[in-house]
Parts: sequence; structure tokens; C-alpha cells
Amino acid sequence: MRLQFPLLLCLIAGVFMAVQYFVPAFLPYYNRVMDYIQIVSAFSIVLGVASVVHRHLGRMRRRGREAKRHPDWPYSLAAVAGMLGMMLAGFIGGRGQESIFQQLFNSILLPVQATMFALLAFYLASAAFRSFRTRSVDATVLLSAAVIVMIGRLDDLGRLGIPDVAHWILDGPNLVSKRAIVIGVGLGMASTALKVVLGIERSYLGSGKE
Amino acid sequence: MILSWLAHGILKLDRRIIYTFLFLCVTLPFYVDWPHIEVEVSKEVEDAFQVIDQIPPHGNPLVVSFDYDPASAAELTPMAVAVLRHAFSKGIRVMAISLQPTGQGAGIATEVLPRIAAEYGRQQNVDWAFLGFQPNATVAMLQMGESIRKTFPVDYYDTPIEQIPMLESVQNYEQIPAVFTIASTAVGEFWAVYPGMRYGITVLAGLTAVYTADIQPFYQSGQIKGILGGLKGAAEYEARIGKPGDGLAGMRSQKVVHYMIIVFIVLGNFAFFYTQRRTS
Repeated sequence: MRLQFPLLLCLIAGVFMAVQYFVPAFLPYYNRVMDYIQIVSAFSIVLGVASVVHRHLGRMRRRGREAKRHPDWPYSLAAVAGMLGMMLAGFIGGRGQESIFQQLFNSILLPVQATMFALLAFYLASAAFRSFRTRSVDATVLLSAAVIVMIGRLDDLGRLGIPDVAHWILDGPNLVSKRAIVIGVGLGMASTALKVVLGIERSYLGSGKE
Repeated sequence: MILSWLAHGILKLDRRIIYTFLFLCVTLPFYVDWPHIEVEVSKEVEDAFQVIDQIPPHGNPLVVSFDYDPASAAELTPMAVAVLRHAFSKGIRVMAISLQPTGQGAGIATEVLPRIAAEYGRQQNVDWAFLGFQPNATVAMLQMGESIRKTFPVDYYDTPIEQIPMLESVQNYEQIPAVFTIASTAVGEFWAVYPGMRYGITVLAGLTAVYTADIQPFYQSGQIKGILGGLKGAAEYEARIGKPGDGLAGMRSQKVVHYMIIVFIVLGNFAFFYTQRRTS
């Protein structure tokens, strides 16, 4: 019964969500299900916060005979302090444009995350210099396409038709391969969904050994 | 002899030298008015412009969804600014939301939206409203198709949605002329796949350059009506509305960096093959 009941629930929910698309009378029930999903999603944030706190508190706690902390505990302290600080700032001072919460977001989070992402450009340039070699025909085609698209995206060398070729690469070979991937992913998702609804795929229920 | 010394020198080039070059190439164009940039407006951007341009002023609002986080802000905020400038300059109302999974898009919207609205003297809740963040993007998108008020009972500043005058007649997507999603993740694609197909809304997308290639099939199939791709897309939109901003300024850096990387790739290949030939 412990196994059959969740499977039955999944089957009913799956069949309902498929059928409701074609039956307008099911609309109120569909809306109710959407409410349920949104509430469950909100709880996932609570779960995420609890998980982060649990993990980092564990790192900060002294353990073992020597009562040593994890070597990275100061980072955990910074993570938890940052999270609690933002939460307090939001709850106490509100989230308006002039609030402390928004000032912290604008002055710390935004530049820090942008900086982290910008570092990628440095690694990318270095990696391109060291590893982008025309060792084979495939690599040469890839490199040529990359260079053409890079120049084409700047609207440069229009007399040589580079932007047009860049546009053709994006609209032709790129589009064809992307479309194939999208269709493949779509079919994969549909078949997996069908397997879950029919109870063939049960990994979401866990191993059952706990 | 010189070539051999040069080739070996290039292969042993310290990465910090490359980093220094890159840093200079990115920063210097912001301080010197060079190189010259000519931007040609692409069909994708023109289509997006036309859709927004045809929205009646002071009527139903354009939905602008801030579906990106600060990591992509340098590339995507210029798009948000350009589209908001276009809308506010024409008196088009804007209803902003954020469905970016971690909720950080809401922070960006809180900074960008009031700032651009103030440039044109647009009033909150009359000309623009920010309804805030909802977790689970797909469900929120689908719920909005049935009832926007139910999905966002209060706005980001805790004002009940019934008290927002510009949303008096807005119930669901039937009153929404278009949705413009600014996304760095699959949320941009979800707009086309879920509410786009079920409710037939007009979806426009502003995306990071990397992600634009993934979304291109949806533009070709007509599921997305217009695309602003990367910083270039922002620059094109700025050029189209005649208001240069960070997009066009950033394109100068992008141009120099692209050529720098190409030069380094060519040098790397030259050094590699030269030393290979000498060795063999």
C-alpha cells in the first residue's frame, strides 16, 4: 500500500493534467492544482534556506576529539551572516528603492556576482589562446565559424560579406542542430513523463530502504 | 631564428599578460571614444521594436519580466533600459514581474524600473507597476493566464493589486498585448512553450548572447516574435529608438576584445605549428 498509493496519486494527477488541456469544464480544478503547486514551490524556498543553514552550521561546529572546526568555517560564517543580514534588512526595513535591503543588493550582491561572471572572460581568453588549435578539419571548421561569428556580431567587414555569413551560420547549421536537440529533449521529456505517470519510472519514490 | 624565438615565446606566454591585455581592452574603450561602432538593426530586433511600438499608449500594459540575475546584468540591463525607455517615451504602460528562480531579478527591477520611469515622469501604479517575484516560473506563467490577481495578490511593495489603477481592467493574458522576457536562463524559453502555446500570447525575448542560439528555433517557428540577442541586441535597440546607452558603449569594448581574442588565437596557432614543424 505504501508503494501503490503514491503511484495511484501520480497516475490520477498525470492523467488529469493531460486531459484538462482538452476539457474546459476541468478549468476550476486545474486552477486549484496550480495553487497547490505554487504553495509547494514556496515551501521549497523554506527547505532551501533550512538546508543552507544546516550545512553551514555543521561546518562551524567543533567536532571530533580535538574539537576542530572545518577549515573553511569562516566562509560558512560569512554565508550565514550574509543570508540572515539580508533577511533582517528585508523584514525590518522593507524592500523599497531606498531601503537598506535594496542598498545591500545594489552595492554588494550585484557587483560581486557581476565580477564573478566577468572572470569568465579572462579564463575564456586564456583558454582560447592555449587550446584553440586547427589540428584537424573539424577543429578548423569550428575555429573558422567562431571567428566569423565573432566578427559578424560586430557588423564588421560587411564588404567581405562576413556579417551575412555569420547570420547564415546562426540561422542555418546552428538552427538545424538546435532544433534537433529541442525535438530530442521534448520527446525524451514526454516519454519520461509517460513512464512516471504509468509507474514504470519510480526513482522519485526513493529506494525504499530507509 | 627570430621566428623560432618568437614562437617559443608565444607558447610560454604568461596568462597574466593575456589577462592584462584583456583588462585594458575591456576598460579603455569606456574612457576613449574608440573604436567607432556602426550597428545595423537586425530583423529579430526590428520585429521586437515593431510589436512594442504598436501597443496603444495609456492602455493595457506591456509585461516586462526580469528573469535574470546580477551575473548577467551587464549584458541584459541595457536591454531592459532600452525597452523601458521606448515604452515610457510612448506612454506605454509597463507591468513588471520577476520569475528568475532565486528571486534576484526582483532586486534588479527595483533599481531599473523606477529610475527609467522617473526619466520620463511616469508614475508608479499609473504608468508602471512592479508585481514582484514568484517561485516556480512555469506555474506562475500558467496561473497568470487564468488570473493575474490570483498569481500576484499584492505588488512588490505590498500594495493590493485591486488598488493599482493601471491594472483595473487587467485580469489575465487576454488584456496583455505582449510579454517581454529578459532572461539568462531557460525561463525565456518557458514563456514561449507554456503560456505562449496555451494562451497565444505574444512573446518577445531579450537574452544573453550565449542563450540566443538556443532560442533561435522558437523565433523561426513564430513562437517568439522578436529577439534582442546579447549586448549587440541591446545596442541595436538603442540605435533603433535613437537613445544611445550602455549597449552601444559596451559594444566598443566587445569589438576590441573580440579582435584581441582572434589575434591571440592566430598567434597561438602560428606558434604551435611553427614549433611542431621545427620539431618534426
